Amino acid sequence: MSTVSDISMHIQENEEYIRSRCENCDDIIIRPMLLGDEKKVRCLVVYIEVAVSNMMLEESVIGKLINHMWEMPRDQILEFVEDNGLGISDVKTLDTMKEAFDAMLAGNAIFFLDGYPHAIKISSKGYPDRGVQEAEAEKVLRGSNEGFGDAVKANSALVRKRLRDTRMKVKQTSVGVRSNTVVQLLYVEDLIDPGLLREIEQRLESFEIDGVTDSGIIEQLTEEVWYSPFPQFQTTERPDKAAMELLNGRILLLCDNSPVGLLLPTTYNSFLQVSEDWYNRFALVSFLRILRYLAVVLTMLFSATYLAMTNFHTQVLPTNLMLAFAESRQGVPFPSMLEVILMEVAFEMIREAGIRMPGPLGGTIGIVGGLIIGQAAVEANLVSPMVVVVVAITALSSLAIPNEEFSAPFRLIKYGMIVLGGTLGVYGIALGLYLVISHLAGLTTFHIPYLMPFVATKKERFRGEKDGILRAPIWWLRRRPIYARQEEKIRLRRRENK
Amino acid sequence: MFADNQKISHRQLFRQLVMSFLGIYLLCIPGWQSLEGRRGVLCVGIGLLFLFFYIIYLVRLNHSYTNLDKTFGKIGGRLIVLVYLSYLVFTGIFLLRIIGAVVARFLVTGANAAVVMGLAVVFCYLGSGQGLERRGRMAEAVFPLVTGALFLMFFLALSKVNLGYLQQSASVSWPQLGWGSYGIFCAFAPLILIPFTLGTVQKPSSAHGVIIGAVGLLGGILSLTFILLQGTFGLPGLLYKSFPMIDLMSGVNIPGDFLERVDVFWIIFLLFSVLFALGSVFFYQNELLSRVHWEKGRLFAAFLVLAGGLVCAHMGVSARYYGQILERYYIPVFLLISLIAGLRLGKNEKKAKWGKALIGILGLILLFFLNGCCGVEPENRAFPLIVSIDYTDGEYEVIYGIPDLSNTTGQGKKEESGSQEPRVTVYTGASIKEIEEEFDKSQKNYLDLGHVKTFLLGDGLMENKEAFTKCLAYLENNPAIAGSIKVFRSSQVEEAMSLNGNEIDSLGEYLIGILENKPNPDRKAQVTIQKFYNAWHNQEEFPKVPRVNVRGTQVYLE
Repeated sequence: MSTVSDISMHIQENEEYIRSRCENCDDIIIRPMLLGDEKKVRCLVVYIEVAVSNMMLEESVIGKLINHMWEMPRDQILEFVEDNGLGISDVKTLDTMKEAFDAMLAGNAIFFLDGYPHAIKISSKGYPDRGVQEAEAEKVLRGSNEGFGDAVKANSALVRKRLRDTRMKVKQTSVGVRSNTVVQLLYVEDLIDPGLLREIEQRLESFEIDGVTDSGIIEQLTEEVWYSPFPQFQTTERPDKAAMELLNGRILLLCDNSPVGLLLPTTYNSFLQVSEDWYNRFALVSFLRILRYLAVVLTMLFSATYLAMTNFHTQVLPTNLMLAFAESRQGVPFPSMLEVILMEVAFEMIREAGIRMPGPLGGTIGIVGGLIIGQAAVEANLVSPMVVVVVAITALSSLAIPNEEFSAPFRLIKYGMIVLGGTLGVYGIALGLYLVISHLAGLTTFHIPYLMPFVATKKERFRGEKDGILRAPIWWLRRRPIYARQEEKIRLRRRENK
Repeated sequence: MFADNQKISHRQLFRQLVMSFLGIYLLCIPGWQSLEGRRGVLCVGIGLLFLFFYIIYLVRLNHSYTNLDKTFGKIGGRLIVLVYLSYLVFTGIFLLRIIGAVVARFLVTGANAAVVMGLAVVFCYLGSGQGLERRGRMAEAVFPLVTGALFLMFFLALSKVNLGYLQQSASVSWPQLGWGSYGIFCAFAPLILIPFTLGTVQKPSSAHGVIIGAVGLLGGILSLTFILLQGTFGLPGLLYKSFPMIDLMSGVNIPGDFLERVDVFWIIFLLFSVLFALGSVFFYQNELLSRVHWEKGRLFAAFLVLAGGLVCAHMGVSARYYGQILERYYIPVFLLISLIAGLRLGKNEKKAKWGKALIGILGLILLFFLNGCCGVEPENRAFPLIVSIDYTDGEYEVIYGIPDLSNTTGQGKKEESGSQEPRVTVYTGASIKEIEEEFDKSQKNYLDLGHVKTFLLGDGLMENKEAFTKCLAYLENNPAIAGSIKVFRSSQVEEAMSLNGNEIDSLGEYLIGILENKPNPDRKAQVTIQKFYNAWHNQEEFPKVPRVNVRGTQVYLE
């Protein structure tokens, strides 16, 4: 063999090389065989034990060919493979050992034949996975219940199932020097801004890492502002949402072993939209959108405003309410700010415990936590009932934000606001808001302002997609968002003769 | 790709200008002595007329300011940057003083000025070096909220306008008109920075229309404010107000009365605009410094603003000096510079990371100091709902009627044993201020007058004009006391107040209930303290107020 990367004509050399690389890899099966009517043609099948079952090998087309080769004369086998093997759908020839190993590690079987300087990849169903799952984190009342699984190819197939158009492209690459994780970029060729594709490809090539086990790692490695608490990619588990967004001119990044796809570019507004928004009537959707925006504000500011109002600006609240606050605080040993922070932390703990607990226990934790914190703590005079109400409203609001990644930064900022509101009243809140808005105004994802479509649209003479806090009736949603290719900006039109 | 051009749109420029000027103008300009009511409107009109021509001229100077060294020579360019920088520092100090004054008086009583100003500088400085696009987007996003809230406030304030006050007219002399108009022209001095901005604006040559539009809108809002203020307080009443806009806001409520007072929110919208203006000051400081490659001076310039603000606050320098210095020194110099630039035009054609971290740490350290000015917990406040004031034998007598929380809220929670507060507390003193000090010395709870519903004024007070006007002056200057508090009078003040918390849970609410809880309540019979302020300032007769009589354990209104 001239170099380690070439496949040798001599199967002995290939076998030695493979065995040396696979030393102590007991999960990799290296199965030498003798083919031909005289059993003198040496061949080799290499595969990962669980990823490729014997049954699969038997049932594949090449498997059947191999069975046929048992009875063939030696001189006809090579000719037979070259003539017939390459035309088979689940077969691909490989020229280098690197390709062969990549294919084998991806879960396929590799077939080597003595005297044949190539390897043949026998496709397999690959590694075990959970198949198509229900989208747990993005539940909807209307629409498909299919969700992405762990296998990247199955995930892209789920999107393809919804966009049966060859203009939808799937660009595949691998990331991770040791993990060789397959990453796919899905987009509709004529709808995306070509610069966007170049940019994400450059970013994927801009780092070298040992391994990538989830799309979250890619997300952090390719985002523009590392210190921002706000997510700069939108995550989704739903193929229908992904397909819809591809039609809006966005790119979907899928990562093997991750059921979470990343949508780019991302805006503030997109996090408050759910796939159902397209399936329901505009009035209901607009109402729900307003609720979600309100939920964002309440998550960030409600606790802080409570502190500001009770400790500084008591004149704002109705007298009876203020007196009720004062009365409910009687005998509580902690200052209001500490009381609120303790309750907020307690809620976060219940939430964290509920997520990590096995299914049935998760609900129990919520009930027990709620009872203990809500009832017993009030009775023991550790906290005032008003604070329980305030924290409960904040918690409910944070849960009403449809995207968990987007809800998290507001839950974090909330603590800063509590400190500011508790120490400087509404002036502190105004300072905090100034900082948050200033940060959001400076944030861009793939050169798209994060606050789009509330800012900068006029600059591009864009008349808006009418899909912001309010969603217009579906017949008015004719334009794609501003980041889509502007030559293809119309997505809905009436047919003239209908 | 999108937004690669790094330029802001005309809409973003428009909104930036409005956001930068709106808050500070509404807070300060209506308080200027020569600009009340209709005279103010006239001054705004004339001042803006001259300003519009100047704006067109400034827009044409765009290229002269792109490369200052080229236009004015190396030394000249640097001198000009120094002049502009000193103006920005000066403006920053003024803005900080206003923030400090408004926060300490209306939002966080007794707040440490150093903390308030320090935090404002830290928060506004962060991100100020990251391009005009960021500021443009920020203004674009916030503009509808701020202007929407203020227009709602203006709309609601219309109901407070007394048409009689609008008939009042101040004497207008040519010198007054001239100085007033010049004052308005000077107030828009930050527009001299426009040539530095235009390089980052799309289609700069046609930007003058947008700038004139923004200035016109601001002028319109100012004019509307003058008229509203005259209609609400009358011209003489305005003379007593240092921040008349805030006094106007304190009387404006949201329909439905689900919140007692909402002036805090209006103030916050204005203050947000002032913070935006302070951020703009830092942004332009950065811009100017980068024009002459002095980027390292950014933090120092911000520090100068803070130090200046703290020194001025410590020495008690009035913010009014700002206007005088601007009118006498800066504006003539700026006019001269722009004139030279115009003449010259005829002849010619990243390492802030550590600085930011430092500022972040500084901000956190400052927050620790805030422990000293923490608010008072609600259970540690005394909320009198009715306050009676009388004047006998040369002394004021004030009785605070504090409700029984358990009875009023229905929660039935026991107050700490042995610490139950008296429901009625009586104090006498030579002035109301002295009485409040006495209260602070003798009561464990903080006196919170923010929920007073009713003033019960004794005949002794109302019949002694001098004592009564002193009392009104004190109440008017207390931002916690809303103008909407109802006023009653009685010759049996002590007997009436003794019922509070005993036979009647809350006498204040009881009296209002007698007036309001009818199928057709007599609105004219309800007199607010604001009506007394207005009558006093406009030298009118004091309004007649319902009289409270006590028979046994029952009160009657006549």
